[in-house]
Amino acid sequence: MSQNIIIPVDHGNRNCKTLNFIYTSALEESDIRPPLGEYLLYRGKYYTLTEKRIPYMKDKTTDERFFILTLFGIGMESERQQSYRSGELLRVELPVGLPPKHYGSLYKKFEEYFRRDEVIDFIFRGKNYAVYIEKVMAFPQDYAAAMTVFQDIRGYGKTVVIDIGGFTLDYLLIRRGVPDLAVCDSLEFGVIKLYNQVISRINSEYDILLEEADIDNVLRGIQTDYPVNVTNIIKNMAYTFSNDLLGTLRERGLELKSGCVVFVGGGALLLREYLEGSGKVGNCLFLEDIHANAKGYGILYGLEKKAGNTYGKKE
Amino acid sequence: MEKKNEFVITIGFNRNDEDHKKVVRLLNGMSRTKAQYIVKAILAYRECCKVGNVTNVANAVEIDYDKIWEYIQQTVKEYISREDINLFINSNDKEADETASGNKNFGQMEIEEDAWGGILSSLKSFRSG
Repeated sequence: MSQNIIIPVDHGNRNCKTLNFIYTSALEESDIRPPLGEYLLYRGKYYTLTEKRIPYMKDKTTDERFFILTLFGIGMESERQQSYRSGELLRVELPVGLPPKHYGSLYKKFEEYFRRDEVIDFIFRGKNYAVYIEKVMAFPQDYAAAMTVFQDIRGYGKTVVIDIGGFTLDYLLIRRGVPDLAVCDSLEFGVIKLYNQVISRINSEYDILLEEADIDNVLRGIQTDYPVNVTNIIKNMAYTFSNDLLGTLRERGLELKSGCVVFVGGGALLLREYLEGSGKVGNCLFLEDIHANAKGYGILYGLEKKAGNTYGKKE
Repeated sequence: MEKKNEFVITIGFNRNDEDHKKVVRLLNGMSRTKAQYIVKAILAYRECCKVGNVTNVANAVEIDYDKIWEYIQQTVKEYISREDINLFINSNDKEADETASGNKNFGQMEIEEDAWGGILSSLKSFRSG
């Protein structure tokens, strides 16, 4: 007997997202069982999720880390969706995604990376898993996220989707629902750049070592223990960063005051107040759902399946 | 002549026997899980024979599979109507799938049929571009 499940996974540089879960793109490997926390045992190694991010990887297929992170996602989602049955094979269809700019050059490699000619055995939360990845299909990020608000944007002649992530800022122009592949790029303008600038300045001026979570709290208006001078600097730097970001897009010929701008990603939500208050953006939508890309992969995969396209099928 | 593959067995059922017809319907309703199902059924039957409880298997209470199937479909439909995309994309129920397709209902979002073509051709251009 076997169970079938579709698990869309958004492999971000900062976080991995499935339909129901979000976890840091960070792993710790060990030969011995960790004393605390949950672990995944795969090929004799113990893996735990940590907060220590994997450094930015344009090509995530160079080692096994993103594959193992995916196994965590499969474990969590199959449990959540009650597809796990002890002793039964779990057949997984895996819609994934890549930035539009890198899609053409990397999608085959990325799909191939997840395909394995074997049943993958691992233990997660004390349960034995036997997983067979039956299909993998990669979709362009941002276009996928836009699918979740398709009805809202299809009336616009032009929609710019701006995905502000941890390391990168990706954008894509959609004209009446059709992506313009000539107008898309992936810039190293994610919020980690802002974090580094803030941490460096506060450290040198106040001898205070901030953590990224502290910066997040300040920008989200959550009370912190830091002096007003420090919080004001953080806010001012976020304002400047947001303006620079929009200025960079303007320099690239993107008109943001007309049409519709769809902001995606955790970075966009963090900077929402500053982006909206910049006066440089007209009609805009913020996709509050951090799982928007993963949901979009699911939607597009569903469409491809209905159309009978089997690009991602094992040959 | 030696059998080419001892793990492949062709079984002929009696189309005039009601029990056989029931089993055929059941097996045809399964995908690739037939072999495992048969293995479990035979082992269970043998086990029952061993403990002298074979009548419970052979004369098991009549099961109305059509009724069960209806219940399953009804439950799945109710479940789908409550849930969003998460359930839509994981639904393997053909009828539910067709219903969703017919209504262009992707959970909480709707995509008209004329837009589908555009989206699919966009995806194609990504892959070829």
